[in-house]
Amino acid sequence: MKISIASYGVGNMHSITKAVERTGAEAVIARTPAELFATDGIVLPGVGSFSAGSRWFEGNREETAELMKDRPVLGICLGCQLLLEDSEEGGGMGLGIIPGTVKRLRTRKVPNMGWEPVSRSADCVLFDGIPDGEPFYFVHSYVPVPSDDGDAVAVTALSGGGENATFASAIARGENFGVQFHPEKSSVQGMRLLSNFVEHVRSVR
Amino acid sequence: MKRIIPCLDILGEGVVKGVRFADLKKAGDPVELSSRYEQEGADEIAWLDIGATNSSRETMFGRLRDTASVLFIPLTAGGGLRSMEDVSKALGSGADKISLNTAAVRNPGLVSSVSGEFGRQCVVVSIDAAWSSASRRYEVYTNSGTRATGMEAVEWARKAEDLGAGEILLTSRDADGTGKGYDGRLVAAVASAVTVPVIASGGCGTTADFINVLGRCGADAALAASVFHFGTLSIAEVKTALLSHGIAVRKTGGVGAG
Repeated sequence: MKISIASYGVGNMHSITKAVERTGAEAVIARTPAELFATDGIVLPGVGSFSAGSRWFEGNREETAELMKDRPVLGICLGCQLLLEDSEEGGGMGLGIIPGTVKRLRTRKVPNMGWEPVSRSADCVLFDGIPDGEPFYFVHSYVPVPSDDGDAVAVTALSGGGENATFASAIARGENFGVQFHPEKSSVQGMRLLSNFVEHVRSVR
Repeated sequence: MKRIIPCLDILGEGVVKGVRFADLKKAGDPVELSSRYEQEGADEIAWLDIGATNSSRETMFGRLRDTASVLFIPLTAGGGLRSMEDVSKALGSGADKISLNTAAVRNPGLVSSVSGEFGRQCVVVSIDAAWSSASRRYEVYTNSGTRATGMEAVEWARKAEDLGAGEILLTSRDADGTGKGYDGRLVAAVASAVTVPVIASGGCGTTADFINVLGRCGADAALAASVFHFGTLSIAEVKTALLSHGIAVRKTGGVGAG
């Protein structure tokens, strides 16, 4: 069982690769969008800026998005934001697989860094066996804003308050999933979420 | 939620801990300790190479890689990082964030460069401060607390934020390792002056110190070394005390903790 991990950013691919391997899957780094499809499932990691991610897909955006709709995809942080159409951060378009946009966090402390509770708003295979309200690790300045409330499967409310302190922390449409937090940095429950994704990939393969 | 961050001061291969940056005692192996702290409910791990000489560099990156490979919580690495190359190596060794202290003071442009290249979220500016009774203000020190810079702590924290820091790690040199409590006045002054998260460091000895610094003083995270290394307090004990005072933290106890 192979999972490809998109390499569109600078920085640390170490954590996500190690975490995917811990689930028992083989992690394959994809240098181009085309390479994403040589495996059973796809992870879009949370490394880099929206513009770096957007640039990586440029030229192949529409066909990549079309192919992804039938594949299990897990977007993490920036990778989750790339599933949407565009971002206030600027720097190009997202994949537009899930209708919606990405907005800057308007809260007292930005970036939001730390563990915050994730509360389910719909059933989602990613959270099987994970208690509702379990905290996951976040580090971000932007949040996903899906146009259709039905695409939000979990919400997080930051305790400090602020204009958009309550946001969709997990989104899903069909085979495509996005989480704004970092499961690869969220210890036992984060590993459970990644294992749930890998199990799902195995079941639809 | 507020965070509890055990800190590993690394010298050579091992973890050490001193009092006011001196009298270092051995405290264990970084890989074993950090992995144990994750199981006990640590929210992050900080790793500071306090030797930071050129000869210790490669050792440090090697030990950092060993530590990162067993951890599934965020890891901040610092100590002696001077250039983009050092920073890239630290991130390449598995650190999620890097901490700049002396180098940020000497070369503020480095903070902006790292922030621009890797993102604000992975840049921690670490500030060592001590109260000066002569100037009646908190002065910033570099070189492991030995060299006065003439800068005032709140001013420097604000500037660091403008330069691109995503977080401030604030250590009181006066309180470090004493177990007599965080310097609440210093923490409150900095935490209210910046909009990025502030990690309080130096001096905690009791659960009351954590309650005070994360509650009244407004710190977003509390870093501690001695109390955890030497077994004075457990992470679970600290978190239970915080929860009982209405301070939200991730409950510990590993699997199933909600």
